[in-house]
Amino acid sequence: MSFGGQALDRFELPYEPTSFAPSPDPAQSPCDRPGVRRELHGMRHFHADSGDGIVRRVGAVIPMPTLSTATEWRSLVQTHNRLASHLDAITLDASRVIRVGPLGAVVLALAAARREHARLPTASWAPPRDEECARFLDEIAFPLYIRGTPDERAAAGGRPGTLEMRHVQVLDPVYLEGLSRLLVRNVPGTGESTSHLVQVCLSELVTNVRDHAQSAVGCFILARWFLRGRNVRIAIADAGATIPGVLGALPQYAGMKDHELLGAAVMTEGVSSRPGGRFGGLGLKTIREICTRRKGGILVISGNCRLEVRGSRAPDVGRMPVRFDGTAIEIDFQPQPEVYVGDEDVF
Amino acid sequence: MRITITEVCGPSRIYRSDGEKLREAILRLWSDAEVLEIDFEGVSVASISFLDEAIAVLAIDQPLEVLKRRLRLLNIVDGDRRWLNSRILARAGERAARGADGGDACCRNSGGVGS
Repeated sequence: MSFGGQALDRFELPYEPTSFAPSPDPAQSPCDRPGVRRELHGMRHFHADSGDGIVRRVGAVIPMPTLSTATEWRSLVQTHNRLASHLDAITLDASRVIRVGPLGAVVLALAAARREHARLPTASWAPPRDEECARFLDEIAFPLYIRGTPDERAAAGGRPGTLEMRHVQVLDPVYLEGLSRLLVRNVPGTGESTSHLVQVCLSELVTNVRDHAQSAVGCFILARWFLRGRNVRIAIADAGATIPGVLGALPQYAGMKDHELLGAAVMTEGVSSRPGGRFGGLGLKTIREICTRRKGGILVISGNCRLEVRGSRAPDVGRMPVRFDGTAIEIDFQPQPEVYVGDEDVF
Repeated sequence: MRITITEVCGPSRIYRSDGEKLREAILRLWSDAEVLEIDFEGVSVASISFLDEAIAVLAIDQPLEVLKRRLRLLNIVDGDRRWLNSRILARAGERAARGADGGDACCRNSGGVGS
């Protein structure tokens, strides 16, 4: 078998190339399959033929953004789309990554889950050279989501004392409460009220997915406490219907542009897809208020739109140059002691 | 009279649909004759959607005095109590804005007693 395209030794891969998965139709060149040429655009790719001039395999090396954090949302969405593409052999190359945030982790893990759901071969994985980054990714079992099998992930799950990323398909309230307690355990100055606040955010984020965006792929959650910034970051990514897509299909929101719908969903109480005028539309607004009142913010990527709100600043909302097929949200806030005045309490 | 969260909602107490079950149970027992105690069993709910749908929306059709008189909340964690109060006041504000005339749309469908 000879290799065409760029010679593999020019890729400087830190590992031996793995074997390619077989093409479903041996007579058809993978390069001619619908969408493959488009998917290859801008990626380093390689192909192999079996000596008869017909390309049988197509693979690509996808570099993970050096900063796989919320600030690089555009690169994350592009990387997600490439990783979720229908190429036979993909390598996610994290060798140059120096930082991964919760949004980066859940978005790319979701891409790997899409591949698995589409019965595509799992990707190969090139770990970061940066030791701290590699350690973080191992701690949240990220490599297992990229290259592992369901059995391997099941065997690795439930490690005591670690905070791993969770692939959620059925909501478990016990898990949410446990996660929020784990998050604030050993963090000075935090306690029950912080744990409760984190749990509220987790509940509302996951409720949104369950109520409006369920998909067979499920969703990924990662919550993490950052000691240096003394803030908590929570990210969730799902492969379901987008916020503008769900709201835009309703008659009461007819005529609104996608980014206007996204803005309304996050900034306005009562904007909801629940049928028959039933109550709803609190979750994202509540989360936004929690974060912006506590030196934090919210970033929402859904379909072809993006919205970011931080502190008391006006929301930054608009169309994206790349489309994300689903919704990804990252929130962050600094839990602060509150002075609660309950003079008007009913109960 | 007393109902517990678990008795009505089972282990799931996060979604609006769970809250709706609790509200329907409340409205079935809605009465001026006896205070209805709702026991949260010391378990953290931490869901605005649940608390809003279960109890806060009653404040759209009922004056706050009626809510205070007919309901008593037991073993509710502090965080949940604060969020619930915040939602009740918000819904009471909607009632005031609508200029409600004391009708009880929330109760009507469940066959509850008017205020």
